[in-house]
Amino acid sequence: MNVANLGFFLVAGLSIVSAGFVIFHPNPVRSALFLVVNFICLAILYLTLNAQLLAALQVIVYAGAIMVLFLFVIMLLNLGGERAREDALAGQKFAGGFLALVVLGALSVGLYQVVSAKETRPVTDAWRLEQMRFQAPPGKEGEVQIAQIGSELFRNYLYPFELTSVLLLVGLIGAVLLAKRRLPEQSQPEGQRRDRP
Amino acid sequence: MSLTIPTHYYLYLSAILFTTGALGVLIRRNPIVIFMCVELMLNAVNLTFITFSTQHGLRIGAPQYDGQIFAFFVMVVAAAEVAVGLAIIVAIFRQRHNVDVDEVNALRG
Repeated sequence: MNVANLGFFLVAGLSIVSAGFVIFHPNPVRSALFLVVNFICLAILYLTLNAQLLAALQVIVYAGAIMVLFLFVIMLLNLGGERAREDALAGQKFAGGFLALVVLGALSVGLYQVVSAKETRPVTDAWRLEQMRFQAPPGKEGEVQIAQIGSELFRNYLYPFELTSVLLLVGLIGAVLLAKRRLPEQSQPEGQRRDRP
Repeated sequence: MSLTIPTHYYLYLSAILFTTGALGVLIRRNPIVIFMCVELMLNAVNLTFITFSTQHGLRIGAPQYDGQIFAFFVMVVAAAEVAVGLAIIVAIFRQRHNVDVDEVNALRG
């Protein structure tokens, strides 16, 4: 247990606790704010992984843009807490918790097998996680790293990059079409469902 | 004093965060909170991508950015997904004044 591990456990614990508050807090606005805390913790972890560009993007895109969108919609719709319901899907929380435990157990068992299989499976030699230790980021590589990522992005990943621009355009048009009000001549009174034959 | 953190710590954290997001999707009924939980899961996957990217770079002795570029693409897709999803929620709210996922069970508007 060294200082880096202690820092990791602090940030990781904070991210897990904030994720727990995201899913258990009844107020959606506070869930969104705890999600911002979680995103910032993950940005710190990206920094320890020598991924400075992704850390900056995490804060700007996720904690900035996406969470503003979430908070805007929550406050626009004025959504309160969920109503307590007993009728529909009784036992949903119990079944959900059980399934989440199953998922966590499967992931943990798989990870433990990979981590502990050092000498038995030479195929997984590249996965000797015990020997892979991270150095702290030197701190001088930000600019060089961004330049390298950019050249990689426009050289090896040019077509996926262009496809993401098409995806964003389609998402933009779709969001505008879905959320716009209907034109006055074809609109119906608010809150009334249209009945078609 | 060494400043090293084992790789599998990051992977266990990613598994825990992914499971937390999945639990939230399963037990919550507010669609916006469900979207937030999907974001949690995507971020857990991003953490795994970046961890393996850095580990691979350390292993072969030169920086590798494939995993980081994948995480970048995941961020783009998440942004598009959130925009369209929140637009759908706004449209549903405009028609029904209620977005509880148990009561919105028909695709027809």
